[in-house]
Amino acid sequence: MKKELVPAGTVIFKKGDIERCMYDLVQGSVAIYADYGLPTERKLTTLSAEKNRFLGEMGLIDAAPRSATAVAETDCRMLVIDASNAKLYFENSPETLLAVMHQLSDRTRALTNDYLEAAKTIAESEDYRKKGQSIPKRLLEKLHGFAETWRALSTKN
Amino acid sequence: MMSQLRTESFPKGTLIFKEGDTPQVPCMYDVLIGRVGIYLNYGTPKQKLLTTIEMDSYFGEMSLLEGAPRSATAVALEKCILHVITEKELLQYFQARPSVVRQMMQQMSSRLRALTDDYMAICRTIAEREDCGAEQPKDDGLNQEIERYAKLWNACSAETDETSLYAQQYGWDNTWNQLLH
Repeated sequence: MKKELVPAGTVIFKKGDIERCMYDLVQGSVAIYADYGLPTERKLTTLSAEKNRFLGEMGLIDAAPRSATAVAETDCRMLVIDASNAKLYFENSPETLLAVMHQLSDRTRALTNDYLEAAKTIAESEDYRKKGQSIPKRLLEKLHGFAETWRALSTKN
Repeated sequence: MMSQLRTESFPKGTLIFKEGDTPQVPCMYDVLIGRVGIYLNYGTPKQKLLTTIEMDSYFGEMSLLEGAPRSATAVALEKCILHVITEKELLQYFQARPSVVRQMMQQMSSRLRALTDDYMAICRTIAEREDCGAEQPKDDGLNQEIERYAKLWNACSAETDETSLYAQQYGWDNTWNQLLH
């Protein structure tokens, strides 16, 4: 399977793109952006070959539009896995099948915890409000963090 | 190819695994013959059937992937023959039944997408509430949302030991949806 060389600065995929493939990041790092190229551009996260390995794995699975834009932050080497070579790829390196599933389940677990934490923060704040007390700064800061997540990701591009 | 996978048979009424168990070798099951019930709080007054798993479907995959304790109890509702799939056998299973593994990944992926939507929705509610400042929001819809999330948390924490909370996370489609929608 061919390893593609992707120079730093290359847009790997754009938000809204529909491409039935995922990337196995062999070397380098990739930044994920909301509003890429706009004045409101924000970097959401950085993925690295050591830590994350797979990029866009949900695209391979269900071909839904990309939810953000991915840009090579350094020169990268990556494998492109699509429907035509997925079987071969998983058979050649069996551990990848499990690794993709692990990545999905790790994200599900992390997001579930975030969701629970948000619900908990709301419940605690409402308790203070109902008692006519002011909400402690610690809770207000947490609420603000969740609010900012929405503001960052609800953008149009 | 299929015959290389390990099968086990369970008489009707057998406990296949119990909520809270940590398997020594994490595994999932594929139902070849029979029907399996997935329960929370099995054998207690709070017993609740979350779902039934029919032929050609699978269960226990979260434990396989995470080595975490079982989040629910699985019971053979009739005589069952099951494939037992450990990490080591997953590739073999993929070769034998690629469509099931694909379906598994699709299910995980759609769960993650649904969860992402839910998470965005709760963050949005928090953002809208924040925009109202110290005042009570005028929008009744917003007030109801806030009430619903507070209730959701209270419902979850009322049952808290770690296991049942975990079960609620992964019984997402069944348990949480009743509270959420």
